[in-house]
Amino acid sequence: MIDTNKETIISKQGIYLVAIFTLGTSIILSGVPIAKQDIWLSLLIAFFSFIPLVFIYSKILSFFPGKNLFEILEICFGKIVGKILSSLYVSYFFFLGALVIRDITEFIQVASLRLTPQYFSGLMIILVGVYNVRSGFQVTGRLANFAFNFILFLLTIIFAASITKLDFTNLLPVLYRGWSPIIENSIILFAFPFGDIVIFLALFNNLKDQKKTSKVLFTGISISALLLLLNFIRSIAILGFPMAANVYFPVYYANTFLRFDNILENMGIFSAIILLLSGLGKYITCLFAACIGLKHIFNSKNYKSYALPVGFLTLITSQLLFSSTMELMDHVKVYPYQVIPLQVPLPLIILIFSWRKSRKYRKS
Amino acid sequence: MKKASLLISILILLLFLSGCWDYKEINDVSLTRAITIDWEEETKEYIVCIQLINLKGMGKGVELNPQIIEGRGKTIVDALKNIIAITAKSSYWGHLTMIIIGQDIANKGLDDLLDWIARSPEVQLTINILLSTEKTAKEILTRGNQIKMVVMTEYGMIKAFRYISKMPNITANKVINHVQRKDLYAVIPTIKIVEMDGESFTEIAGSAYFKNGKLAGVLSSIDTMKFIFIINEIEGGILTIPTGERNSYVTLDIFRSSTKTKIDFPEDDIQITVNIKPIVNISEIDGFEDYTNKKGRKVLKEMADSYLEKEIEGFIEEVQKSPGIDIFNFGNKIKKTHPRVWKKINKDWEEIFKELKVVVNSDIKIKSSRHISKPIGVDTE
Repeated sequence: MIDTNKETIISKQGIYLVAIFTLGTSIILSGVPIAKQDIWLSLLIAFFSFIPLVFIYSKILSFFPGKNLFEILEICFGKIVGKILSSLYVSYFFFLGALVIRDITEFIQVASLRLTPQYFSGLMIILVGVYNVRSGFQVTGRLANFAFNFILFLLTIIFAASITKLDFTNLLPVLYRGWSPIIENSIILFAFPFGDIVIFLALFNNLKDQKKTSKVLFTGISISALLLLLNFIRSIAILGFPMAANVYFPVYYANTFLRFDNILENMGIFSAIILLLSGLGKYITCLFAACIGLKHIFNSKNYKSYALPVGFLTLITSQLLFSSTMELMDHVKVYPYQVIPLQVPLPLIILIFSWRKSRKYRKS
Repeated sequence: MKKASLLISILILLLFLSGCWDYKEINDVSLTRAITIDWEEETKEYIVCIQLINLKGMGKGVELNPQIIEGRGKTIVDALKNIIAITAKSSYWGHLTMIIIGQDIANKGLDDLLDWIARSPEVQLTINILLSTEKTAKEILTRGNQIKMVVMTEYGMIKAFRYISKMPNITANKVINHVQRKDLYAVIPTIKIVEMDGESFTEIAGSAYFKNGKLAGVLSSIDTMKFIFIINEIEGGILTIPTGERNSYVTLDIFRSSTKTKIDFPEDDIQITVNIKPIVNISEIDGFEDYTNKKGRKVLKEMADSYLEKEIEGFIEEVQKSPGIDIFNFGNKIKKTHPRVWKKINKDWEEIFKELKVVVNSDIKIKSSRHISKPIGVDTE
């Protein structure tokens, strides 16, 4: 028993962590140009169709208070099947972490530091991540608290500065090309910022107030959905089409238009800070979940010893996954089909099994 | 001990982590303030000139020492790299505010230039693209007063725009958007050289419009102001209204202006109504007529309204006749407000635009007459 209370976070920190996780790299990487000016509709569709899943996830956790996803999987499906499913989830979280690293390093390279190797800028991020995982979950909660407030502060400045640059007619005409591109885009948004919330099944057994899980998840993604919506609309209103659909990082380029007279001529750096903070939050969450999963698969005593090797593996994987920026951006369109099985059908099956098992479990 | 080792490791990190691989020493870069791009048809080469600033510390202050360096190449980037071979320094673009292009490149098409601007990590999307109405763009740098050129880019044309509204205020981002779309046409400001007391200065006034990325014509500075009225981007400037008297004008200073374009469909036809609402101050009255009292203000308002309506309607008709290009982006307005209609008509829009009925309504609001209530003149009593 090493400092068990170091592993719990309060619900406020939980909300912020969910919000940061969902903002993640999506706050910069909204470069999904399928729905064009109707992307706000796609985002709303994705958000509202995700809400039921929030309650499914929190229901699963509520059947076994204090148990995480990997323990639940073993209780429901037995040791062997449970471990196979656990390793599926662990690899999902692992690759998600690698993807986040790649998004951040790619942004750094495209936007400013062209000669700096991505391994190096990635190393700086994973070292912080590893340090955080080794310090315990409570530190992550406090980091989320700080990072969220800071992101909110920067976003307020950015929004205030962009008021004069906005041209909302760029959002017109609505539904010019019909519903199909909107639905196509909303599937991507469903999987990428929202669907990844499934990761909190592995972590939110550490929430202090177990009854509030659904509230925490729901408030968290609502906040981030609102911020994402405002950000998408803002970048389209500033950049216009086809440029907003053509650049890799529309939010960053929209920020380069903002200036505060001659003192601050370009607020592009603000989006880099936001991306680093929210992306780091997402990466730490992924690393945490992967390490905890590995601990349960190999029946280890402590998950902390996995942090360093897994962290370095995510760094290496992130650079091996794609050979170019173009490949990374193309992957966004394929990503939903890789992860939606782990986000929707599998949790549903887990829900049914855990509903049956929980009665037996409680009796014993 | 632990603290000390931590401190040492942080100090070691400091050495290596400042700017990573990409750090640039200020004396290793050359500050670029202006760039001109020309296209030479005979050799099929781009000619890129950059104006560098060498800062020379004098006894009392800093002297600006502009230098012009020319590079040639098959592409724009090629030409820029050839410049590095001359300066032996990489150029820093962070403060670049405008790119001046020659007419040859405008005739050839803006696509290649815009592709480079959008792709380049150093050139920002907020810069302005100007067309030189001189033979080449290079002349603007070599013939114009170089120090003045530096000052002009420094203060930025955006600020000048607020005072005169005689050039379109359009960023590279907008030009890129407009060139790529069928319902939008790019209109960029033009720059030329004016001679004054034997010295050459540059002047930004007027504009040039593009069709499919190729230069299609130029507008004079007065026409440009009418154009800016129609597209609702007036931020200042003056209106000189001829009064009934001979050679006398009332000058109105535009405080603010808003233009709303309405689209109606009377009997299968398209009618466009442009409602202009400028708020003005009276800043000069020539002649003896008193336009500041109640009756006079009414007369002045009617006079100014009809003058503005006549001028702008006449300008629109002219554009419909001679280039026949929808530079006012009425097509885009229809697309945004009536997408279903646009789907039907977008193929024949060029023909429809030539026959389009456009009505201009002006509603000037006179806000003040500045410091005095009556015009100055010899008392007749």
